[in-house]
Amino acid sequence: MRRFAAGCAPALAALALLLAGWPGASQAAKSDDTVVMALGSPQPTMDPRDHRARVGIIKDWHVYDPILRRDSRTGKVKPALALSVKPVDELTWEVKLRRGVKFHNGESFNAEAVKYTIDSMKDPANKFLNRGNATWVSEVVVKEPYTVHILTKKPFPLVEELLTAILPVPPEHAKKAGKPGMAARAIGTGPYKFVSWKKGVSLVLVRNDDYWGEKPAIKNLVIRPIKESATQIAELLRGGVHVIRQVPPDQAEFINKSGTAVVKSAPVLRVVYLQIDQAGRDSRSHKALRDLRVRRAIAHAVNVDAIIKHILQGRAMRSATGISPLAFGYDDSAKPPKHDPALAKKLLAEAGYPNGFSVTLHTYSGSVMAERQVAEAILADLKQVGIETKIFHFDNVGVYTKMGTGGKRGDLTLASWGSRSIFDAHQILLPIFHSKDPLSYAKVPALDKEIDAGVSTVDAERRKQIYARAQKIILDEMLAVPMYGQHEIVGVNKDLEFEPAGDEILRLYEAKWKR
Amino acid sequence: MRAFIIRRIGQSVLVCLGVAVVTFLLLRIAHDPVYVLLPPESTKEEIETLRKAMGFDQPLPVQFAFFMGRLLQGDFGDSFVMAQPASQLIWERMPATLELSLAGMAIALAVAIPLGVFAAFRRNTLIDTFCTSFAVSGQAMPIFWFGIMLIIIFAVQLKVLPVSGSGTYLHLILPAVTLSLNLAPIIMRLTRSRMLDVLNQDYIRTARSKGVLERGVLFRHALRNAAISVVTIIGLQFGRLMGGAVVTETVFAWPGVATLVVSSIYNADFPVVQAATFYLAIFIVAANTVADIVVAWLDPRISRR
Repeated sequence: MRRFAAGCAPALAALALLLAGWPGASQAAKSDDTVVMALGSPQPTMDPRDHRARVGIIKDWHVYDPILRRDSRTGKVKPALALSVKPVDELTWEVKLRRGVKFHNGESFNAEAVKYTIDSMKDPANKFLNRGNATWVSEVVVKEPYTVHILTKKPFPLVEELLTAILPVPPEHAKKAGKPGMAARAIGTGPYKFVSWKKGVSLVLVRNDDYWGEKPAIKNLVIRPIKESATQIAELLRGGVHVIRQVPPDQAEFINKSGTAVVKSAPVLRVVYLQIDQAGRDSRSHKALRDLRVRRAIAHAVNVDAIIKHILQGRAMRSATGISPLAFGYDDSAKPPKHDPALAKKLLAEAGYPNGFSVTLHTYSGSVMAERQVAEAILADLKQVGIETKIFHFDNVGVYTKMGTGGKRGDLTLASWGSRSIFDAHQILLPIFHSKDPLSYAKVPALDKEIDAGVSTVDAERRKQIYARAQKIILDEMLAVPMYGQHEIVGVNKDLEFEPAGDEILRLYEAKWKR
Repeated sequence: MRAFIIRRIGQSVLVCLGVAVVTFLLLRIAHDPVYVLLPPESTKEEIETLRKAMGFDQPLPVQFAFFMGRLLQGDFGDSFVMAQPASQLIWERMPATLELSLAGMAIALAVAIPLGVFAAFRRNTLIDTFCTSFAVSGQAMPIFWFGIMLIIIFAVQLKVLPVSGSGTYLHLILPAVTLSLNLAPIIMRLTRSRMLDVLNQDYIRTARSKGVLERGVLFRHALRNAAISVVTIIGLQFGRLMGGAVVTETVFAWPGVATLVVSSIYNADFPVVQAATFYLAIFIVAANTVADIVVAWLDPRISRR
C-alpha cells in the first residue's frame, strides 16, 4: 500500500496544479490549540510494559516518563524521573529519583513505583511483551523513599541506555486495574494526560498542567492511525493532520512545494547493510561467497553513495562498517570500501570467476526505506561486474516464516536493524554478526570473542577499543557490505515548529506553534 | 420452501466447518508457527515458552481438537500485539465494516440497476453507450487509485469532504462511493444483459399488447425476472465487497475489520488474522445463503427442484 504513494506522485502533482487556486483555508488547528499526529498503525495498548510497537513507544513518551530520557538534539541520555544513575560496584547501580512527582491519578512517584514497574515487567507470569527490556535486572532494592539500587546479573554496560526504555506505572492503580485496566487507560507522570481512546480511530491527550518538567506548548494532542502513506500526505496537505512520519523520500519535494507543509528529517539509529553468506550457513548459498576476494568484489561493485544520492535524495548517513554512526562504539576512523568496478572485476577473476556467477538477494518491506529501488540498484551494480542477481521480496511476515523454516535466506540479504533504540554497537553486533545468533550469517570466532568481551566490560574506553577491533574484522572479512544509516523523514504543518529526533520517537511535547 | 431453507443452511454449516479447517492450517503452513509468531530478536527461552503455551508440542490431531474446542466458544486466543482477545477486537470493529459495506452496496445498487434498466431499454442509443462505457471504465479503475483521486479532488482541493477517518455521515461518503465502484459495473452490465434477454420474451409482448404501461412492463414484469440472476451475483460478489473493503478502509483509515487485518498481517498477529478470516468467511457464507433464499422467493420453481 505504502508503495503506492510513489506511483501517485505525478498524478498528485498534476491534479494539484490543475486545481490550484481553489479558495478555502487550511484547517490548521492553531485556533483551538490542537495538534493531530498520524501514525502508520493503531495503538496496541495503553500499558508501556506490554508492547514493543514504535507507535506505542511514541505515545508512551507523551503520557509516561522514562527513568532516563534521551535528549532529542544531542542524543545523550539525561535525567528524567531519575536525577542520577551511578555504579556502586560492578553489579549495583544507585538510582536517585526526582521528588514531588505525581502520577495523573494523584499517586506519588517514588522508589516503590520503580521497583513495582521493573518487577512486574520482568515477571514471566505476567507475559508482558516488553519483558525483554527488564530481564537484565536481577533485583531492585528500595534503599530510601527516593533511592533504589538496581542489581544486574553480570557486569552490564547498557544500564543507562536501557533505563530510557523503562517507564514507571502507578503501582496502586496497576494492581487494582489489572492487565485489562492498564491496557485501556494510560496513567503516567508524563507531559500529557490521557483523555479518551477510541480504538483504531483516535487517542486524545491533553497537556498535564502540573507537569514537573517543562510544560508542553501545545494544549491538545490527538494521535490517529492512518496506514496508507498517500492518505497521510493528503491529510497533511489538507491540514487535518499536522505531523506524519515515514514519508517516502521521493514525496519530500512534493510536500515542500505544497505550501501547507514541509518535510524535516533527522538521522536515526536504523542502519541498512547487505549481508553476505560468508560461511555457507545456508546450504543453498553459492560457494563463491566463501572466498574473501569475491566478497570484496561485491563490496567494491555496489555504489552506495549513488544509492544515497539518487534513491534516498541524500537523506541518509554513510556508514563505513555497517554499524550506525550514531551508536556508541562506531569507529569514526574506518573507511568504507571504495566503489571500484574495475577492481571488483579483477578480484572476481583472481578468485576464478572472470565471467561472474548468479546470486539471490532477499529483502523485505516494513523497515528498509525504498527497499525495492535499493535492491534494484544493487542488482544493476552487480551486473556491471558480471554477477547476476535474482531478487526475492517479502513482507515482514515472510521474513520470520523463512527464518523459521530454513533459518537462512541464501546468498545476499538487504536488511536493516534498528537496535531497539539502544545507541550501542553491541545491539547490532550480537544479533547480526555473532555466530550464535539466528539472524547472523557470520562465523568468525575472533569476532565472537570481541562481541562477548564488549558486553561484559563496563569501562567505556576499553569497550570502544573492543568494538573498533570488531568492526575491523567485519571489514577485513567483508561479512556485510556497509551501507548507510536511515533518516526519519517527517511531514510537518507549516504553522508548527517541530524537529524529529534520532531515536524515531517523535516528541510533540517539544513542538510549538509559529508566531 | 421450508425444506429448501433448511437444506441450504445445512450446506452453509458444512462450508463453515471447511473454513475452520483452513483457518487452522493457515498457521501450520509454516513448519514451525512459533517463528511466525515471535519477532527475530526472541530468545530460545521465549520460543520454548510460547511453543508449550500454544500447545505446538502436541500432535497435529490433538492440536486440531483443541483448536475446534476453543473455536466453538469463539476463542481464538489473545492478540499478540493488542493485549486483548482476538474475537473481541474483531467484534469491536465489525459494525464499522458492515456500515461501510452496506453503504457501498446501497450506492452500487442505486446507481447500477437504474442505469442497467435504462441502457437495456434504450439499447444502442447514446445513453446505452454512455452507461456501458461508465461500466467498463469503472471496472478498469483500481479502487485504491479511485479512492485517492476522490480524496485529492473532494478533500484536498475542493475541501468539501474529510480526507479520512470516521464519525459523521460526511466521512462515509467517499469510502462508500469508492467501495461501490467494486460492484456497480458488474451489476449494471448484468442488469442490462438480463433485461435485454427478458424484454425479448413473449410475455413482455403480451403485457405490452394488453396495454400495460411501459413503466409497469419494465419494472414489474421485466425487472423482477431479470433480478433473479442479479441477486445471485450480489450474493457472490459479497466476498469481492469484503476484498474491496480491505483496500477502501486502508485508504480512508476507516476503523473497520479490514484495517485491523492489514495491520495484523504486517505485525504477524496470527490470532487476529485467524479470527478475522473465520468471521469474514462466515459473513460471506451467510450473505450467499440469504441471496439464495431471496432468489428462491423471487422464483418459486427453484425451491421445488
